Amino acid sequence: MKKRLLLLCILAIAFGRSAFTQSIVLTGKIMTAQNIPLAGANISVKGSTQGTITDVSGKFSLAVDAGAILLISHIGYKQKEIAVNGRAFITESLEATDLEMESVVVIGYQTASRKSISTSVASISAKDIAPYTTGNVANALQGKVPGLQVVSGGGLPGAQPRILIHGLSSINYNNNPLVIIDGVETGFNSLNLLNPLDIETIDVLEDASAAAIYGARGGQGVILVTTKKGKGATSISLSASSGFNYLPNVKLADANEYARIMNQQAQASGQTLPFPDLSKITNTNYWDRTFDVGRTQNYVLSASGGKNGLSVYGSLGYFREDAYNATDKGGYWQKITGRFNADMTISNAVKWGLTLAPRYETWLNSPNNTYAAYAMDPTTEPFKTIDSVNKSIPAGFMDMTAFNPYYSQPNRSSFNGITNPAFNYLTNFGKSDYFGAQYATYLQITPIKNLVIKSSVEGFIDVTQSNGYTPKYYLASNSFNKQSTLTSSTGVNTRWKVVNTINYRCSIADHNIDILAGESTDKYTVKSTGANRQNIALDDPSFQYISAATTVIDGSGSYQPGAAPWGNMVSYFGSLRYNYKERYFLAGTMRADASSLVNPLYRWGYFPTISGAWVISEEPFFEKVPAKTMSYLKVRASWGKSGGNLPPSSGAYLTTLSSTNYPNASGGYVSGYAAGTIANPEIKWEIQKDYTFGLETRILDNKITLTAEKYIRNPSNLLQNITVDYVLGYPQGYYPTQLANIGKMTTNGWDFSIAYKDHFGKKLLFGATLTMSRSKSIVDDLGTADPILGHEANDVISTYRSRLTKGHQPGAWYGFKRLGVFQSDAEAAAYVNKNNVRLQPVAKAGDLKFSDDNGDGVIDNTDLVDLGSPWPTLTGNLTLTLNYERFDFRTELYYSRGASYFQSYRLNMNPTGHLNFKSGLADQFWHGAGTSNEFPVLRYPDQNGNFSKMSDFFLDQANFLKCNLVQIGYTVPKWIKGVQNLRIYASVQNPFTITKYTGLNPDLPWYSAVGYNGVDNFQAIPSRVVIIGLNLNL
Amino acid sequence: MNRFFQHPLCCLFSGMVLLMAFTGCKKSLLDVDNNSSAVQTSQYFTTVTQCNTSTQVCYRYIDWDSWWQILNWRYLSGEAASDNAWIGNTYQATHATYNAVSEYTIDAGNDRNEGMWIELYKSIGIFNSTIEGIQSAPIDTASKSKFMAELKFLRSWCYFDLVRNWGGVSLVLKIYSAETHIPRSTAKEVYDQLISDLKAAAAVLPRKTAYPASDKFRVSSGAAWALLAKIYLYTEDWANAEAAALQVMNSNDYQLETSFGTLWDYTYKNGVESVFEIQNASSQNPALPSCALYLMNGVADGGWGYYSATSDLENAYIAAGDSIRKVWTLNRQGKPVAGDPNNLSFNGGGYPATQSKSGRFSRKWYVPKSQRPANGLYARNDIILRFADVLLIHAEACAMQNKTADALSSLKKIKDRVGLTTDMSLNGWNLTNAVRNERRLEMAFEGDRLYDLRRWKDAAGKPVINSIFGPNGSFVKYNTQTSTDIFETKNTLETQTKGAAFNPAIHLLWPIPNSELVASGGVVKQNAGY
Repeated sequence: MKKRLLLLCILAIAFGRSAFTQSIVLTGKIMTAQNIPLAGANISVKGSTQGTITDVSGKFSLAVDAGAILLISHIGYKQKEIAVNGRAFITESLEATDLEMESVVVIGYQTASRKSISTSVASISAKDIAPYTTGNVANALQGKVPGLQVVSGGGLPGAQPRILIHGLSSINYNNNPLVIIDGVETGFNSLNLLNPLDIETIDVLEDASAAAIYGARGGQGVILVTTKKGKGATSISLSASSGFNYLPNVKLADANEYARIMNQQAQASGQTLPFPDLSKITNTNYWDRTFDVGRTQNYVLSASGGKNGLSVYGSLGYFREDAYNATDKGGYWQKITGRFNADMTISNAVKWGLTLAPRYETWLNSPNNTYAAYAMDPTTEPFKTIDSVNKSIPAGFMDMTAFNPYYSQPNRSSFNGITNPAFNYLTNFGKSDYFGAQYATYLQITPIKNLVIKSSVEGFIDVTQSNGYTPKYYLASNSFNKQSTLTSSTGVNTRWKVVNTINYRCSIADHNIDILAGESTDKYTVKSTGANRQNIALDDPSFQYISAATTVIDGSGSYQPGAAPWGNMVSYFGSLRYNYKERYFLAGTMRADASSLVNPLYRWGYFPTISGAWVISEEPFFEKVPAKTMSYLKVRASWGKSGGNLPPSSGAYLTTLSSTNYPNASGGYVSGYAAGTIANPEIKWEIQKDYTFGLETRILDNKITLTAEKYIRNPSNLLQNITVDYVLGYPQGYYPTQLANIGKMTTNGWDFSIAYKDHFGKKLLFGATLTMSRSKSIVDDLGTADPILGHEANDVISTYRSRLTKGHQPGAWYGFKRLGVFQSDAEAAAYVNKNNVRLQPVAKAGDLKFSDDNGDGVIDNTDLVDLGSPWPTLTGNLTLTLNYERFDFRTELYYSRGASYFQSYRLNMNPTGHLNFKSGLADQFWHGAGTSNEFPVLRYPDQNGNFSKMSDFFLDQANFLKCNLVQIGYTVPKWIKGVQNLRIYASVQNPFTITKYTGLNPDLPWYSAVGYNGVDNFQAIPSRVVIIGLNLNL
Repeated sequence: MNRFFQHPLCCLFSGMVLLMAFTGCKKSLLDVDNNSSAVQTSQYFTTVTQCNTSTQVCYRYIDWDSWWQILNWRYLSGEAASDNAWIGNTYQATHATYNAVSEYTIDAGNDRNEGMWIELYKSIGIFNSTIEGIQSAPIDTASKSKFMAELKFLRSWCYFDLVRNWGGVSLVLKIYSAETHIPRSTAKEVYDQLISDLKAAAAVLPRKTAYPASDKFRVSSGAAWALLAKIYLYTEDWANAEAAALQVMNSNDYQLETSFGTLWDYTYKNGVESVFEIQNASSQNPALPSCALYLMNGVADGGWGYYSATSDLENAYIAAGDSIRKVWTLNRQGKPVAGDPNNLSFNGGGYPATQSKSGRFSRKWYVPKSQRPANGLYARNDIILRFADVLLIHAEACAMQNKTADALSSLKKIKDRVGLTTDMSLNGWNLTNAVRNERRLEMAFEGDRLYDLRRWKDAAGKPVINSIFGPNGSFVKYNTQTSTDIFETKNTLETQTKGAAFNPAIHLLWPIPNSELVASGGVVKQNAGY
């Protein structure tokens, strides 16, 4: 193959270029080495803007000079240069690149070839991102990048998924990776701001050895997003998709089932029946009334091209997601994103570039109605008449100015106190606008060969403006709002950063050296103002802005230079990368950071790393191994130390006072300062250290690519709000706390990925990628704070739910082990210790039987034990692709196993609440001998503590296989002139989930601290999305 | 020049020229520890005005910012765990841990019990922090010692609550570093500290009448003596209790309001009977309302509908022929409300009558309809020390010393106001019991009842509470055998056997919260029986 190519080139040169000057129409066909037509290959004429793209059968036609030189390229294949030599028809085949090995990987302030990397860097490219229609690219990554775990953000528009890289890195602070878009450090939430279709590749720096070049901020891993750049022939492309999203059905108890159970409870509790006559009740299906169908739309128009040293990519995108809530006021998220990337080669020595990415978002708050729709009493009529609203308000109760009875029409159940969720729609006025831009510019000079000096200025501006309106309403005597309230707030966050680097590469004999040194300075400032007014004259849309209210209630604001999480920082960094014959690799990096968020006494942190790799397949002896069995083999090892979360606010190391007030005796009040925080002067950043070992190989004629990685990670100095002995009277927190660098943890894990690609005949292409990730964290030390109990201060559960303690998984469930349910009073009475004293003295038939775990003859808090963990033991993804002629098919399956979640749905069955439930759930509870040995009786009062003692009764295993995507595409034959390529497709996102999990959604969003993860508490359920779309290239 | 160097273009430019040779523009960039919303403690406390306003806002924390954890406990423990009140609200679902307190099934994990403990110590921490700040402030000694005296009174009040709920507690009188643990002192050591602090404060503080009108809410020497009298009463130091009460009585700064109802008027503020009261305001911003009013007004009256009076309490008024305090203490379902001409038929909790345990709500904490503020922020002051209390302390201390005439004189003043005659022939145990009964009738729903029952001993030297609660307690027997009350006997969602689980070996003190035992690393030990 190589020889043939060489020959072609020689021929091209030998037979001269000037022989043919006339223009001809060239047609041709581009194929793979296996003679399979290659669609979408880029054909451009060297030195001009002319160009085209091959169609689905690999064919193209192009008017060229007979002596032109063609550049043929395609992602994943080696570029080829072909002389036309006057031919009217050419057939060329492209050789696949050594897949990932030859590709360029972004590693932090520079790039390197995949082969030369000795640290843990995973990559994913546009072809695996673009099929999924989403506003946040993280949704498209779930399970697909080994070592990167994506946890659903839930079903509301714009909800942000969480990302964990190489397992847990922090206990009670965030585990969010650093996100860098084209070199610009942005917040984790910037994944929400980005247009996923602008992305060319994403490289993930997973181990400390790779991430520590970003120092204190790189501790939770780094996601490097590279957006598309202009290159080759000019092309314009349009992507459009549109569809709808809705909730998978949940069947709740109807009025009959509900009333029957409520009666059954009342009977068991010796109460009068709440529904004595079942024939008189009416049913309202609140789930159906509350949820409907929302629309999802995404349109992107982009253009790219390069000429005379200038290359440009530009795009404008529009994305909108309407909540599946059942009205037009159910909430939406829409964004307009723009991107302009330009690079200009001014001379051999000077290069300049510019990136501008503005965005504009508007949000209508999307209320999460899952709880209300689920728990609402179905026997209650949904709405009141206007007349009965007016009659329900006691005379003189409130000033009726601007009172609109419309908001008060949703009925409130007098039986269980829940209000028809329609109320949340009617009164949903929370609207926000966001405007922001990322910018970067660089100047790069190469004064002598191999020496590159680069300076860049980059940053972002984020501006928000939010408005809210709470109308007057009267739902019941204890649920009303007597004052119409308007709020308005603005915020401006700005960040800039200056980076200077110098890079020198040289080769001496077979020794290759690459040295990088750099420094950076950055600054972050937050400013905000807020206002609050009351009393509007009319309930009318034009009066729903702050200026329309007459009574000024509040004005607030803040100015924080050096605000968290970024602070202001000064950094120096360097790296040295060496290899011998591309066979032995050795690399080291060093970074020093000083942050304004840390006490000046402890301000500097130093983060060194070292790594090495051995490409065994480059060894002479490896030539004996036939390529059919194994063509590539590399092993690597790395060690590194990086920073982690910084103290969460500026001046967190200082003890401060807060302003407060007290009424005096003459109708006024006094303002003054009292203790606000008592700080720990020594708090600094968290530290991550890890060891990583990797193996990469390709076997069976490159059909199978396999990577495996094992890591041991030791986060330390973990920031933890440690509970201070209450008697010391520290004012911060409900449980008095102080921030300290106290925790240590070990996270152990491995990641595995296997990709298989093959063709059957010439028409059928098949690809499959399987990933598996496993990680487990164990708390090693919490100092004097051990154990930290994840205690929810509510009245129903008064024992601890989860705990952080040495030797256990963080946030492991903690409670009583249940041995079953007492089937009779006699059985309960017979549950005694060795002195014949009853272990559960008040237990009766139907109550839970708790284990006296330590066997001391008493059931008390010393019997609480670990009941499982909210963290999955294994997650991964299987992506399958099929191409048959013009058809393509793709499916993505995500799986997770080993997690167990707290079921608020069971807690809700607490018979005093009278909340509705999933159809059939109540019947699983004990209601007579032999009916259940799992769930207790529904009876009040609950003297045994079935519902108030944490036990494994509340927990359920969340093993599931969720299909994330099914997509079928068809590439249309070339019907329309000027259209290079047109593909239409239909897809379903989240079409089904296979699970035995009994909660509403096993892919549970995780949006609070580590210690509270896994509480399935009516988080909005991810929607099912049905999409049709097209990709058009001109 | 410095400014110029901070400019990004400057950095870019200099970066191009000399990569790492400029640290000049870095220094100030990192020193941005101040932000607009926090004042560093170490930089504050420099003027008399700063010390003065800081002292005054500390009053807010005597009930932790009027937050309901503390106020709730005052009535949950002080009234509902006694024979005066039920939790009352069986309509709302979420109060299992309330019932555990009032029914004596409480364990050391109880969140209500824990909340009170935490908040009281937080208040103490804020007082200590302010005391330390003022201590080192460069201001005149007279102002300094006056501010300190006020703060030590506030701290003593919180410790008094701690010691009567849990017994001897950790005595924390300054700010310690976060890793410190302090073991429990004995109850006597705590009381001794309070007595010494309050005596010193009484010597420095002005009389209530000496304060200008806007400062009437501040701690006076009278308030310090009144709290001292109460503390002596709790320590059974009858002679000192009498002497301290006489300090207040003889100051002539206080007298009983002519009419008992005046005290419970929504507009009552710092009147002649008031010795110390928490100030509240219905202003919207800052919001400074009273949580007591929310807790105990029925749902129909803008509150949460907790703590309804027992028929046992109503019977006590009936037995005493006390018609005035009966209507000013209890609102009865369907009956007119005293002092509110707009409410001729009281609507109970506002939830279905069958869901109210007794149909009787507190009148003392009721807000008359015409006086309810438009913004819904209820804000009458909460009186926590009043002259009638001092007179009853005096009467009790004298009775216990067999100073019959002195005791009867104070008792008579209390009874005279509500039109009851005093049997001037009483003496011995009869007199003591008459004073005790009077204390119940006068002070019901003011949060003292449980602590009185715990400290009172009967002729045999046993706490009075032992004969009221427990399986054979008089209150338990009344409810389960005698009572025919239409509300209480029908609504068993709150159990009618309340108090049967009382165990005298355990329940004279509440449990130290489990989480405190954990937070103290085992240094703080549990009370017996928990």
